[in-house]
Parts: sequence; C-alpha cells; structure tokens
Amino acid sequence: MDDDQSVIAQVRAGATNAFRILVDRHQAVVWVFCRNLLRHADDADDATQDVFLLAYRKLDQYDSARGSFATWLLTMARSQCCNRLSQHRPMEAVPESVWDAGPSPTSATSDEDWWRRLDGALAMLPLEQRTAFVLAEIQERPHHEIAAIEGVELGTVKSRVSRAKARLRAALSDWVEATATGGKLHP
Amino acid sequence: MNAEDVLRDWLARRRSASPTEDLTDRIMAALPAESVAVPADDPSSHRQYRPSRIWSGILAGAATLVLGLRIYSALSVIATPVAMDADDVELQQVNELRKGNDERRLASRT
Repeated sequence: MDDDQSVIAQVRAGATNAFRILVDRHQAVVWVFCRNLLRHADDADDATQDVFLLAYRKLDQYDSARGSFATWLLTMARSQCCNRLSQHRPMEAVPESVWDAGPSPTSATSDEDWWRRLDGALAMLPLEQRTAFVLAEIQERPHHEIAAIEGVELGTVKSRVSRAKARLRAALSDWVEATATGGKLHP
Repeated sequence: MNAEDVLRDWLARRRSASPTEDLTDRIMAALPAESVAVPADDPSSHRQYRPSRIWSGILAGAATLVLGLRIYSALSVIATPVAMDADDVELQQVNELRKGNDERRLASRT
C-alpha cells in the first residue's frame, strides 16, 4: 500500500502514535496467518504483538523497494510462528477443539466433523507446505509474494501449495469414502 | 456431501476468523516509549553513542582522581603527626649537642 510509506516516514520521524495506523491496517492479515499456523487464538495474539513490536524496532531496516510492508510483516510473522512451533511439542493429529469461527451454515455437528478432520490434516502438513498453503489458499496472497516471504523460488511455492492441497484432498476423500460405505468415523 | 464443497466451506471459515478488537490497543501499549531506534548493526549508531561514551570516560577519570586525592589527604593527616614527632626528636638531639658543646667550652675556659 502506497500510503504505508508516508506513515512509516512519520513514525521514523518520531511520531510513535502514527504506528497505530499501520497496526490497524495490517493486523488482521498478520493475525489470520498466525492463527492458521498456531494452535490457539491466544498464541496468535501473542505472535501478532511480537511481529508488530519487531517491526517497530526494525522500521529503519524496511526497504519498500524489496516488497510491500505487508510482505515484510508476513516474513517476520512466518519466523515468529516457526520459532513458536519449534519450541512447543508437535501437534497431535487432531486438534482438541474445532476452530471457533462462527456457526456452521448447515448441520453443525456434521460440518464440525469435516472441519475437524481438515484441521487435523492441516496440522500434520510439513511446515513449509503449511505456510505456503495458508498464504496461498486461505489468505489468497499471490505466489510471487509467497516466494518472497518464504525466500524460495516461485516454482517451489507452487509445488508446496499443490502438495498441500493434494494431501488435504486425500485426507478428505478417505473420510468421504468411509462415510459413504457406512464406516464409523472417529475424527 | 461433496469433498470440494467441504474444502471450500472450511477455507471460508478459516478466512473469516478475525482478531479481537483490543489487539491494536494491546500492541500500542506494548510499544517502547522511545521513538524508533537506530538499528544496532548500523555503523551510524556507534557514531551516535560516541559522545556519551567519551563523557562517561571523562567522568570516570575525574571520579578516580578525586578518590585518589581524598586517599592521599587522609594518609597525610595520619602520617603528619609522626613526622612532627621525628622533627621534635631531631631538634631535641641538636639542642642536647649544643648544650654539651657549651658545657665543654665552659669547662675548657675554667
């Protein structure tokens, strides 16, 4: 966003309160990314806060010629989340609770089962596939931006997203088949 | 149910999540009080801090000098009476010598 530059210039000049504009503008993008990688909403809150504190401290290092401010924030968010994930024990195959994001449009119990299955499958993806998938499919960021965030080639991003989607579809298909054949489901 | 529909709904649900409203306030409250710091690895930052380092050195030197002077003056106060006693002894010895000489001169005249 072009406006970011003028706000950044204000903050660099000492107007700390101007940083609130940047936080308001970009916190949702950072938080959704963190929330989709970390297990709990509280962890996402903490990670988002850390990202913005780091951004504030390192604001002089931000170079708009190398990418947008949002890209820069997401790069730091990725590092934050990877650090947090490496510090905690690996996630179990299926999260304890279903992601809380509002009621289901149809049958609550049925959809929650499906979503729980997908939540578990997402958590089991290798980290590099998970971050690429979240950025590409959930946050709908362009692949070239994801390549900049992840520090890899464009082809690598496409490959990771493709593999992640294939794994999720496979997990879902197994479950659909089990449902169709009347098998009992234990998400 | 179609697997693709499930996947689409799940993605939509994941996208729709949003942070709590007070997250901005929380972040702003956590910001350090000072303005944006110059990066630590920026060479100009060393230039910025150099004057304060020089002043610290000068103050430390001055403090050491004052401390040295105070120790010296304290030792002087302790040592001076001893020196005065030594002078007195020497003066007494000189006086005794003079007295002895005078007595000898008187004896030789008589």
